[in-house]
Amino acid sequence: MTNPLLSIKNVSKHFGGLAALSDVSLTIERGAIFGLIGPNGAGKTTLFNVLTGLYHASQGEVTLDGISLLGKPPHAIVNAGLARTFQNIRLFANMTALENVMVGRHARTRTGIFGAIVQHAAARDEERAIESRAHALLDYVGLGSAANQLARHLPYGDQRRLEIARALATDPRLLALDEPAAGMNPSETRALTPLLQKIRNDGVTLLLIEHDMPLVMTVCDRIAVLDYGKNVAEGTPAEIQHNPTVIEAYLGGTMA
Amino acid sequence: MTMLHNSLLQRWPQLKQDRRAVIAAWLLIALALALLPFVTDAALGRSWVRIVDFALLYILLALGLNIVVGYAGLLDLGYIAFYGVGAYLYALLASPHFGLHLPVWAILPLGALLAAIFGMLLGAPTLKLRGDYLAIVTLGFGEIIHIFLRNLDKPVNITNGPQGVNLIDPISIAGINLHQTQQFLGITFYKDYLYYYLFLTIALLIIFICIRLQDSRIGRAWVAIREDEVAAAAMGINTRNIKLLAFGMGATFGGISGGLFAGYQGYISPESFILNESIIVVCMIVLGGMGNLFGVILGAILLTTLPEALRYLGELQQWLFGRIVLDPADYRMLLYGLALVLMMLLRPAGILPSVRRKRELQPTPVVAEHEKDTVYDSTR
Repeated sequence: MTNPLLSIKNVSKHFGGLAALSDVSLTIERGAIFGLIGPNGAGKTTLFNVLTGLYHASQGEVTLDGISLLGKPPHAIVNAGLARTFQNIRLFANMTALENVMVGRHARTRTGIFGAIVQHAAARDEERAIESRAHALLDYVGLGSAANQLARHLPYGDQRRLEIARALATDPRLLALDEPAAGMNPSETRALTPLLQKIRNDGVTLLLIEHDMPLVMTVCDRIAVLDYGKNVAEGTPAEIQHNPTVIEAYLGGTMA
Repeated sequence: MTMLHNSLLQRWPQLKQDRRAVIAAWLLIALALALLPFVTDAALGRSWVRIVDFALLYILLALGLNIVVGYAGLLDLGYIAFYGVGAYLYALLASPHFGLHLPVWAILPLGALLAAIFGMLLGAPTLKLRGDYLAIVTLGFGEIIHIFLRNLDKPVNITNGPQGVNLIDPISIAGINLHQTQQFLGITFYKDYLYYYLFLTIALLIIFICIRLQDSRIGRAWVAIREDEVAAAAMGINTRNIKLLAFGMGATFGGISGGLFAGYQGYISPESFILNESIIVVCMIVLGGMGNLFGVILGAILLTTLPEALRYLGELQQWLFGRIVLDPADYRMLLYGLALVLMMLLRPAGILPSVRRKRELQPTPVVAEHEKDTVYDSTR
């Protein structure tokens, strides 16, 4: 408990006069599936964008395994071990599923212009390793048979899983998923739970933004609730379900 | 005819496996390329060998620009500046202008390097720009280089201003001066033939480099940036460096092409490096099929030869009507423009579209209409 994987301290983010995040603090332990919930516009995705370097926090501190992430460009944050998916799927639409995952290996491979042209033994080995790892990851998320299909031709749920495979290709220690179940049909959502648990059991800590409450409550160990950019509650699923502040944030004061 | 075609298609995998057939096909291509200047000269005259030489130089330019525009998706309208940088470097280091006469093998790599540096200089301030905005900045960059070339004759005379540089040394390789007719094994090789073989060798080398690059880690990173820059960064791609690499790599080919041009031509002036030339190179890759190497090559060949071929409309009329009814000099470029418009209407993805570009222009069949808004980020 003394050495959390991700520690967010007093992070604020202002857009002009609007405080999208104010004084948010969270700690995520290794091996957890950590849920981040809250009404629309609560700042969940803003927090993701701050974590992954797309936005610069106005103030605060974020450390992954003791390494400070704030102020680093997105690719450096991936190198440090934090990968993400996007709420509005951002696959490389005109590349195949396999190519998408192969791009994900970029952070962990080295071949440059010279190696690409000369194709010396090390470069060839690396290219083969990239491809076999990408195939393995597609199998892992259950898309092995779709390797040569274009990303944009995949069904919606498969696109979500392909994004997860692509993010896993960067060998993350923390995987941040922005609404992985959004737009999925019930059977696709049900299939997501074992996948998330498998990823966690294989040593990747998960941070999950999700609106699908049954999913969040089953899969998460801890949940934090954001409302108007503030961290209003944190606890186990059971605690959150009975927290009056949370109920108010979601239902505007009326008890359900 | 179609039956023959079909049976060939069916046998194709088999044919491909047959090593002898593959070797035979390659030998045939090699032979055709080796004989091209002789055949062209005999059939169409020496001036057409020269046109073929220029087509090869434009192939180099188009392949370079294809890396920037076709792969990385960065629309560059000032590309000809790198051609100019390469050409002027050659001219200044191998002419009486400064009294320097360095050999070609020293100048070409220097020209490539200098062009790459200029490519990155252009790239650095434009990293955050895309699409139309980037196009305008690169257009301005092209103009700046052109204006420098025209005006750097004072206070210190570097470029010799609008007169350009004359008496540039011819290229010589292993003691063979390519400007002088040579005899090998009783066969006469004229100047334009010799340059043809040099340009062809370099073009093949660069095609090889492009083929290697496009299926590499770097090539994938370029395409990823074109597809979605934010997602590319989220995959650990250092988008700044990878874009600069595309600018630098593309400029390199332009610089080499420029050096060869200066050596071949013997004189250069700033007027060879104007906006119009940049646009023509962009046309070549768009028309041929952006991102597809062979499409780009075909585009370069077509757009260099078409305006020349249209000159023959006069002879055609002479033959048909016994006199020239309409002088092609008056409307040659009009037809050229018309041909461009027609080709873009008939084949919007280019003559030989890259698989990926073709996909982009196709509607998405599987994803249902109502899902479209959520599947793709509407801000893209």
